Amino acid sequence: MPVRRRGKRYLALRAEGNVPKDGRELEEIILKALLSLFGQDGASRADLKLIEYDGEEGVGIVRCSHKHMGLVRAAIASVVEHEGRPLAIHVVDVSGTLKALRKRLPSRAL
Amino acid sequence: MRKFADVHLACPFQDVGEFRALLERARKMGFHVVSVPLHPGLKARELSRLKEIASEAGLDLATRVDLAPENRPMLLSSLRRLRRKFEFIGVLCQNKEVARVAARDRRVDFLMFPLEPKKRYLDRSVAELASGSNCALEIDLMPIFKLPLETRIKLLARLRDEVALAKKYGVPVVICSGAPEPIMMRRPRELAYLATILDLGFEDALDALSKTPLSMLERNRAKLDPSFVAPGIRVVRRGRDCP
Repeated sequence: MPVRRRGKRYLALRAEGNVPKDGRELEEIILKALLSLFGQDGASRADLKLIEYDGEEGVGIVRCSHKHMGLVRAAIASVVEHEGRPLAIHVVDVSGTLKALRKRLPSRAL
Repeated sequence: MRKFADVHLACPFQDVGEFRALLERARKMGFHVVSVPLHPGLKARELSRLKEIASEAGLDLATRVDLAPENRPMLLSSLRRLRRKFEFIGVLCQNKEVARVAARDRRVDFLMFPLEPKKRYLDRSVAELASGSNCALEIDLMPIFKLPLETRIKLLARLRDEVALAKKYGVPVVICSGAPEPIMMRRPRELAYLATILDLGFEDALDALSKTPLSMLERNRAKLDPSFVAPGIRVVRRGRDCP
């Protein structure tokens, strides 16, 4: 029996303030926010995955479930600090494919 | 396209440069209208200068004053003094008496409550009064995430009850960032997604950031216009030829 493909959404992010040094740190921050707001159930449904991250620029791309993108965006917006210093993560663009997102990205900035 | 308003940017500013930078940031984030709580003693000339700066930054500034009265007489005297001067008036209700008077008064635009769950006085009677006077419930989202975990959990639960109560009694809900510093400002859609955790649908959350505050602003501007007489009545022309 064919398994239905789960829809994805790719979110382009831009961090400011105490910017995470690497992708692992960024993923941890978002996951922590997801867990804090929606618990393990919400975090598992969100199906979060880091695609790429540039620690110097503070820009990156994460992938999440299309159905539960709202949870991820709410969690990202709720991040206000990291290691006791202010941090903001903004979603600058959203796309259904990585290719389209990368194409649009240079023209989108905060 | 929707126009968004952040009617409570709580970032303090020292000079015109800081104020301009704040507005430019809000513009880049996608807001069209912003409101910053101003000092009640500001003169009309200073207010119009701030509006000019905002329009140079491509934004519409709605003048706003926040009151934190301790009792009924203080609230009423402040409203008498300031209503004709500012486009928005927010009242921080620190006790039940003030909450009830503010909710009943048509001159109050926003009902605000402290961030302590036990000091939020929006109950059924206040909601009923507010629905009759078109007073909106203001929810500042960003300061919530600065609170200690336990308080935050209790406050989010309380806010959910308040939103449900507001829906039941038809009290308009206005969502704003309430950002105490520029780094805590968020884009309109980010705020809308964040507001969904208060059991507000995404479309309702977008309305709480656009339609609701913008219609309140339009109504208040019409009232402050010198030609305004009463709702639906305004002076179109003055002269001897008018019967």
